[in-house]
Amino acid sequence: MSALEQDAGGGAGGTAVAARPLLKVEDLRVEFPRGGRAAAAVDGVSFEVAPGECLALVGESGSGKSITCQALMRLVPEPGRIAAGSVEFDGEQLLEAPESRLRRVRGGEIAMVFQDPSSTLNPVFTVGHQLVDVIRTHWKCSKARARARAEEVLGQVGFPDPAARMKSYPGELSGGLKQRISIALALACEPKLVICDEATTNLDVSIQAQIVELLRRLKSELGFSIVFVTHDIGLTPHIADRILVLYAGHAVEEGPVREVLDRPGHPYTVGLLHAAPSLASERGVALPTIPGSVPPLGQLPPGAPFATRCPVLVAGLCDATEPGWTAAGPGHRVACHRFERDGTRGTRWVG
Amino acid sequence: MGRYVTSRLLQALFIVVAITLGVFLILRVTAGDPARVRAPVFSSPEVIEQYRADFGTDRSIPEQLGSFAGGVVKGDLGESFRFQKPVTELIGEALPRTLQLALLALLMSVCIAVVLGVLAARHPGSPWDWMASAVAAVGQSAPVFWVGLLLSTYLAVKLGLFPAGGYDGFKSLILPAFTAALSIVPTELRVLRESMRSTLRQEYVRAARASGVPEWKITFKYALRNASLPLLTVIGVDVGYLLGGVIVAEVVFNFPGIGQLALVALNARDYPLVQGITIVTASVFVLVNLAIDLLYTVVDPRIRLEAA
Repeated sequence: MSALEQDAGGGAGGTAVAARPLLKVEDLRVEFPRGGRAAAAVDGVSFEVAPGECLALVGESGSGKSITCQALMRLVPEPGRIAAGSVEFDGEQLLEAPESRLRRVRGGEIAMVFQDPSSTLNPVFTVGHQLVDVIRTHWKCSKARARARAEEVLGQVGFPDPAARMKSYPGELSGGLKQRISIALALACEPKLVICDEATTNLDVSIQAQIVELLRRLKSELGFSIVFVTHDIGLTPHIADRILVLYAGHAVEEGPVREVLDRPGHPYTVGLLHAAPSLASERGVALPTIPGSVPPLGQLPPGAPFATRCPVLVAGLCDATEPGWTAAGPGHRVACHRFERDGTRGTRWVG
Repeated sequence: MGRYVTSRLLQALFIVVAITLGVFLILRVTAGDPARVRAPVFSSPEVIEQYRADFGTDRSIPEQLGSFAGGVVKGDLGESFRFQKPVTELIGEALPRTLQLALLALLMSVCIAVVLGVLAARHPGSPWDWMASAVAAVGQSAPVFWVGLLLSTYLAVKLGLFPAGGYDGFKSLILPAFTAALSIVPTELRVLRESMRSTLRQEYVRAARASGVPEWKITFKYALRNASLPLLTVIGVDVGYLLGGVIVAEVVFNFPGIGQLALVALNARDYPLVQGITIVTASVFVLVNLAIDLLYTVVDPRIRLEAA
């Protein structure tokens, strides 16, 4: 996959990443044992996130988005393991770092917001208790100082009465408020990178919009970067600067968000865009879907990962060799044989 | 909360009264006459009749119940047939000993259950897990009297490390307490291991890990607090078992506690003493379980929220 970097550089030139990237992931491979063999849940994924930038990781469930995020913090659940690749964060190789150093990175420099705030907040401790605990884990400061910081960050995520909120138990709050608490927990120690793993998926649409707006505002105010994981490609223009589309553990398309949404190059991206509901969707008409599903772990056929479901498959090519990257525009690249051969936009030949 | 406690206390009172009444009646309708037990062998019917008159068992059951209830209201549990002493005095001597024994046994069992349970839950399939299963299996299947006899024979008689019986300071508590602890450990251990295992899979444990909280703190603070609710329930039941006198352990180690006293009282058909012990142990049991129910609300705010 070393060709990946060169291809991208060749066609696209400098991407939005002008300064030194905050996060640089190269050739990441995460394996899980399946029937005596190692099966890759994430295979050769590379991407960069610049300071203050938001990268969206998009794909169906099973595409390896969450595993990728867990791998960044070296928290891949057993029996999975990071088999290859490198994760460079702020100039530091995280995959080689000692566990003690990683504990300081987790929550201190890279923080995570999870999907379901009802289950990610500890039900038996108050909001304040949990915030103070996290703050004091990373900042060796007095309880009073930690409480002050906790109230400050609660204010930042939009609670008008931080002192009162400190005493609440998670069970007393609604889903949207709980997710604000989760964000406060993530931001408590002023991380440089916040990973939002489907952080808005379980929320009502209106609450979802509020949370996305909150993240965007905080990002511009505080200057952290975001890796925004979602299966909802329609959400990405509201928050992300760039998109990385994942399919079955492989990166298939990457580029600036508007560019990818307006001129998608990969048939999978096109499928995702068609499947995303919008206000313009006609009522009562079923949304188009991508037929089939992501192949189970370890059962990926040779060739292009999307070959089994691709509507524009080139027989003998796509099911035989894996496609490399083809430049599609400034900072925009696509891993698709059909795109490489025909050069035409996915929208023309799909749907 | 106040109303809840009041209603639970009334409920507790009702339970204690019902149990006492039951025991009172059962004692009198089953075979065995305290006067015959107490009177010297081959006593004449007149002598036995004299004992009945002394004990008051010659009166009708409603009459006996009336005077018993009248005494209880005044805090008087009557006089023991067997010991010729006030029941309150006898219980007052035995209960503190049994409380010490029960507390130590509980402490031992909870320590073993928490340490082994947490280690086993954290490392499934490890030697710790295996050991937890072994301890649970042995504790469950080994009869209390047998464990007691083994400990007594080897640690007390052969090695002389502990007193073999009686009540003489803290040292004499250790063997009977451990014997009792071993019989309640299995349930505690299994329950805690299971709840700890499922708690460690919870999202908030993953989230805590992702925010850099040290693993020991995740285990013993974040997870254990959540996992301890089922353990509390089991402890409530165990306390009842321990207070009802760990009869077998008390007998094996000749420990002069409530259990041993109850056994003597039953054999002697000592109605007042059996009734007194019933009232006291039932009350303690009901109160402990009330305390545990209240403790739930301290440990888990969700229960408090539901009650509110």
